[in-house]
Amino acid sequence: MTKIKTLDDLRKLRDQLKTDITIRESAEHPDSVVQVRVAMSTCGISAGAKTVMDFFIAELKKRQVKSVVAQTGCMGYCYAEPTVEVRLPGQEPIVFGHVDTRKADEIIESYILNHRLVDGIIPVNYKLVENDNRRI
Amino acid sequence: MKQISLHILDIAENSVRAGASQIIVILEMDKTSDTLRLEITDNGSGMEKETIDRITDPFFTTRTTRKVGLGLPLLKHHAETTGGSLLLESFPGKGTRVVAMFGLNHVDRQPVGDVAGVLVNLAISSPEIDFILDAKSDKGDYHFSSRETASFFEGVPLSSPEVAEALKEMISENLKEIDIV
Repeated sequence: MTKIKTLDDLRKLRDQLKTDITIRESAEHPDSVVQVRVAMSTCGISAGAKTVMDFFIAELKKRQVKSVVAQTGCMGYCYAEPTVEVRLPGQEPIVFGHVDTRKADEIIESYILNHRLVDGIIPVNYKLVENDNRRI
Repeated sequence: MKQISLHILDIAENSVRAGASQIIVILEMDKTSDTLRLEITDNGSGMEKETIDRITDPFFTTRTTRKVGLGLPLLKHHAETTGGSLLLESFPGKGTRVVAMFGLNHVDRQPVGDVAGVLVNLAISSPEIDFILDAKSDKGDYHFSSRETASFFEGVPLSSPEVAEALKEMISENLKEIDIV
């Protein structure tokens, strides 16, 4: 395949995807797919969060899991970076700590695909940062 | 931080939190003056002078979730290790500009790394923000804007794996062409 260098090279891909995506999107709602958020602040990045994020993107695509992989900021669990928040459709999010690519593979295999919990979960009282109502 | 691209990711994340709608990353490689210039400019909330004065203090942060802020101190350290410097400019309500100068051929200069991957991941995670890359070397220059690209794709989200992959390839091919790797 010739290398993609300009937006023009992407035209074909765009036209083909436009039809595919409309079909896909009408059937999907963000909450109906697996949501993976990788914490990417200084602490996470220096601990290898980017490698982990790239791994999730590639691996979930390979295994054809309907998912969104995004990055977030620091959640204050710097000691356990890289941390990854996984939200299965209709469930509370769970945060895993010390995630390397091996752990990420285990999370996909056990938790995302088979709904079995794996080691390394961060506090049960975890709440999303934006509606932070933790009691201290 | 093993790559300059990871610093970009890190500093751009600050701009995202500052509510910027446009983040410009400039990478300029100048062989004559033996420098590599990294500039990140946003139009976010900006900072007061008191904050800027303390910004490279590793024990200063505006966050409440933790007590240290290492992003800018680390970037400053890495720039200075290569004989370079870090410059910060910020105006409340207008935005912030971070300029890091590296010694291009200094033995301690980190590799530039996966700038393409960093930009595309940022653009996917904050689709409302326009991430712009302006790269320049003696071989030529390259311009990328996530908003322009998104409008080119006419509704197909950049986050669809096929698009993300193609974009990463496009950006990294262009950067390779002008020797920024």
